[in-house]
Amino acid sequence: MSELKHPTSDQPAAEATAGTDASTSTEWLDRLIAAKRTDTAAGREPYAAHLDKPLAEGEPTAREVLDRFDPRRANLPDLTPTDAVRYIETHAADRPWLAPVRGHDTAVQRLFATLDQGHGHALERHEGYPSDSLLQRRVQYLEDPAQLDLTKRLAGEDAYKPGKDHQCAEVATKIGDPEAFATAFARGMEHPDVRAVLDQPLRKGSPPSPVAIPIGELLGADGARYCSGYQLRLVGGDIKATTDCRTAWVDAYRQGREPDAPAPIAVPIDNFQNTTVRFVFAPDRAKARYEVFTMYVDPPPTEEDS
Amino acid sequence: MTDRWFWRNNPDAPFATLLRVVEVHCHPESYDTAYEDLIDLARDPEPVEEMVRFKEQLREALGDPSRLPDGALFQAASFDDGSDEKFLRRLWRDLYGDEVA
Repeated sequence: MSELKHPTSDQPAAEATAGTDASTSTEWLDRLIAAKRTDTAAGREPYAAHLDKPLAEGEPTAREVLDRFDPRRANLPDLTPTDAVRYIETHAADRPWLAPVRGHDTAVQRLFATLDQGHGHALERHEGYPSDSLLQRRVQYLEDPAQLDLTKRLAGEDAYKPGKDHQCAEVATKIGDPEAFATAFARGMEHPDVRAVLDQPLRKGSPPSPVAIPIGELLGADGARYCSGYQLRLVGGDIKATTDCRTAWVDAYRQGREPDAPAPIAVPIDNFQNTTVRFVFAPDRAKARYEVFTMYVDPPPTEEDS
Repeated sequence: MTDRWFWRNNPDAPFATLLRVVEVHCHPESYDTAYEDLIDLARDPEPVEEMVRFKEQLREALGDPSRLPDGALFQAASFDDGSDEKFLRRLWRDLYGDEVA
C-alpha cells in the first residue's frame, strides 16, 4: 500500500487540534491564526487597504457597502455592532472561523456574527478559517473543515449532517481575507439577481437557483488575488472518473481495505481570473424567506477539464 | 465561451428543469437538507408543476442519457457516481423507489 499515506501526516499540529482543545486557553487559537496569515497571503496587500476605494467612479466604496449592510435584508438575524463584537469575542474559541475577524473593523465583525447566526456555512468552509491544508484535505479526502471533532473529521463525517459522509465537489476554494469576504458578501446582497431571491417569500417547491456574479463586480479587478483553493488532478482525463475514484479510494481507506482506485491528488488552483462568486440559497430558519446558505468562488474550468 | 449554467437563463433548453432541480438539491454545496427535501417534493401526492416536469425529464434522460447536453449533469451536481447513467439511476431509486422509470 505504498500510495497510502496517513491523512494526518501533512497536517500542521495547531490545525489538527483546532477547536478540539478542551482548555480555556486561546494560545492554540493565536498559533492557528498566525499560521493562516502566512498561508496564502504572502505578497498580498490586505483587502482592508482597499476599503475606501470605489470599484469605479461614482460607485460606493467597500466601507460604505459594509456600513450599510443590513442583516434583515439578507434575512439574517440582526445584531447591533456592540453585540456583534461581543459575540465574536465570546465565541471565537469554540467557533474558530470567527477568530480571524477579532479586532477587525466593526462592520466586518457584525457581518461575520450575523452570518454565523444564520443557516449557512460559508464562513467555516469558504473564508479564511480553512487553511490551504484544510482545503486540500477537503477536496482530496472529503474531510469537512467545519467538523471540529478531529476523529469525526478524519472519518469524513459532515459537521452538520451527523453520521453522514461529507461531500465536496472537485474543487474547494476560499476568499482568504476577512474584509474581502465581507465585502463580497455585502456587495452580493445589493446585486439585483440576489435581491430578486431574497425579496421573495418562500414558495412550495425547490429554492431558486444559485446566482453567479463575476468577482470583479464584488471585489474589483484584483479580487482574484484574494482567492485560493485546490482541485482534483484528473484521472484519465475524465472528471467523472476522477470524483468516482476519489470516493472509492476514500471509502476503501476508511474501511481498511486496499483501494483499487488511484489515490486522489489535489493541486492548487493557479487561476482565479474570470472567476465567479456563487451564492447558494436555502430556506431561512423561519421558513418564511430564503437566505444565502453559502458563498464561494467557482473558478472557470481549466483547459484540461473543459 | 459556453454558458456552463445555460439552464438558468434558458428554461426551455433541453433538460433545463432536470438540471435546475439537480443543481439546487444534489450539488455538494447545496444546503444541509436539500436532498431530503427533494425526496419529499418528489413523493408529494400533489407535486408542484416543476416536479412533474422534472420527473418527465428524468425519465427521458434515463431512457437515453446520451441526449443530455455534454457535461451538463456533472456541472449541475458534481456527482461521484462515475457516469451520468449511474447518477440518474441512483436519483430515480432514491426518489421513486421501485416505480418503473
